[in-house]
Amino acid sequence: MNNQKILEAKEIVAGYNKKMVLQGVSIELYEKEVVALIGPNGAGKSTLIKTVFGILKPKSGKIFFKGEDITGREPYKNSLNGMGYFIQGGEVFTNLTVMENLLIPQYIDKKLERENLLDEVFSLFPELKSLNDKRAGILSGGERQMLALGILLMKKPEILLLDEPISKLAPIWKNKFIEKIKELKEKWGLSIIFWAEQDIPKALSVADRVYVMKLGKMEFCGTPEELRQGKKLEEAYFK
Amino acid sequence: MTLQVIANGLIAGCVYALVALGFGLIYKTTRILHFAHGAVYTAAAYALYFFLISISFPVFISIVLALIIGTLLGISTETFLYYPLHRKKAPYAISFIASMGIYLFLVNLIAMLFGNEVKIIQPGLEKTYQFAGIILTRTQIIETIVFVVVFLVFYIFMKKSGLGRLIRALSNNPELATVLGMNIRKTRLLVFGLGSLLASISGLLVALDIGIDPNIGFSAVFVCAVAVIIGGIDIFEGAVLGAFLLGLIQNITIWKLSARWQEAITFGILILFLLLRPQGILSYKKRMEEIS
Repeated sequence: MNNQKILEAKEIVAGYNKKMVLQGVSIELYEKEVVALIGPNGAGKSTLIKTVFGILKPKSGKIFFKGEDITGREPYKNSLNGMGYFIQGGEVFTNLTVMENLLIPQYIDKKLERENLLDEVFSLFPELKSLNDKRAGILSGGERQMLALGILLMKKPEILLLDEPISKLAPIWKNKFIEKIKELKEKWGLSIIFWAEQDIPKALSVADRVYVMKLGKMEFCGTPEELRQGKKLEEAYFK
Repeated sequence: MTLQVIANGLIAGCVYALVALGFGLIYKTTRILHFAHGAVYTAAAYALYFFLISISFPVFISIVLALIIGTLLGISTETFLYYPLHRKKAPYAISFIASMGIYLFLVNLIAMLFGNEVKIIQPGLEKTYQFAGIILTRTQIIETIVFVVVFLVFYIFMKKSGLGRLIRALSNNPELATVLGMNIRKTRLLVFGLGSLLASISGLLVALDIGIDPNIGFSAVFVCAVAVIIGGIDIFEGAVLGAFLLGLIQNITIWKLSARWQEAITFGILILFLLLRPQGILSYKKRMEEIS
C-alpha cells in the first residue's frame, strides 16, 4: 500500500457502561482506500466506529487521525476535522427541504465553499437536484439515503464512516449505492470504512481490504480474495 | 359586541403567541418543558416596573434593560441548570422538576422584593380608538403592532437565515446535527436567548396593559403550553395559531359564561385535541416509518 495511513485505532477497549464490547480491537485506513468491516450481529462493528468517531470514549487504546491523537475527542470536533459519519438508516432533517439539508454543513462551518460543492454533489446524485425544494420527510428510502450521503459530502470530509449503508435498501438502490462508493473513492479521492452485517458479496465487490469481527475481536484482516479463499467468514457467522 | 369580543380575543392571542413561540421553540429544540419560562416573563415585567416606576428611568432605557434581564435569566437557566443536566444525560422529567423549582424560587423572590399586590404601570384610564365599531386601547394597538413586527422578524429569521435553519435542524434531528459538527451548546444558548426574549416582550406588554403580580407567569406558561400542543408541535408557527384560538375561545367564554371558566375551557380543549388530533392543527405529512 503506497498511500499514507489516514486513520488508525490501536487496541481499543470500549463499550457501554461497564460492559466492554470491544476487547483490544485495531483497525487501519489508508488514503483512497475502501475498507469493509463485516461480522454478525453483536460483533461490535458499530461500537468500534462510534468509538473512532468519538461518540463512545474508549476505556483504553489510542485513535490517530491524520497522524494526530484524537482519542476521546468530541464527535463535533472530529466532524469539523474531516470525518463524515453516516448514521444507520440514512438520517436526514425531515422537516427541512432537500436544499436546506444540503446547506446545513455550510451554516455550521462557514469556511466551506458552497457553489462548487453543491454542483459536485448534484453531479454525483442528479436525482437530488430535481427534489431540492421538496421536504426531506417525503423522500423514498433510497432517495433519503442518497441525501444523507450528500449532506456528509457537503462537509468536504476526508474519510467516510458508513454504518450499514445498504442493509435496508431495495436491490436497485443497493447497486446504485455501491456504485457511488466506488465513485467516491476514485473521483473524490475519499477513504471509506463501511460496515455490513448482510449483503457480504456486495461489500466485498467494492472493498480494497476487509476486516471480519466476531464477539468484540478482530478475526481477520486482508483482501477480499484472501477472505474468499479462507474459512474465516463462515467461522464468524456460523460457529 | 361579537366583533369586539373577537378583537379582544385576537389581541389576547397576540400576547399568548409571543410566549408560546418562545416556549415551543425551546421545547422543540431541547425537549425541555421549560416551566421557568413563566418566571422569565414575570421577571421581565417586574424589571420594567423597577426601572420605570421605582427608579424613574426613561421609558426606552427601562424597556431595553427589562428585555436584557429577561433574556439573560433564560440563558442562565440553560447554562447553570439544563445544560449540566443534559451533559449528565438526566431524564427530561428531572429537567422539568428543576424548571419548576427555578420557577417557584424566582416567583417567591419577586414576591419578597416587590410584594404580592398588583402593580400598575399605567394608572388611570387609557386613551381609546374606535375602528368599525370596535374600541381598542392604545396598549392593545401597541400589542398588535409589536406582535406583527416581532413575528415577521422571527419567521424570516427561522426560515431564511443560516442560524434559523440550524435551530430548525437541531430541533428536528439532534443526533445528525452533532454528527455534522454543530456546536450544540451554542445553538441551545441561542434558542434560550431567543425564546426568553419573546417571553420578555410579552411580559412587558402585559405589564403595560393590565398590570402585574408575581403569579402572572403561571397561567401564561400553562396557556402557552396548551397553545403549542393544539397548534402543532412539529411546526413553530403552530404555536401562534394555537394562541389565537385560545385567546378567542377564552374571550368568548368570558362573554358567554364567566372568567372563572377560562382555565377549565382551556384544558377541556387540550383534552379534546389529545384525544382527537394529538399532532395538533398544523403538522407535516409523514411517511409511515417516521410515525413509527
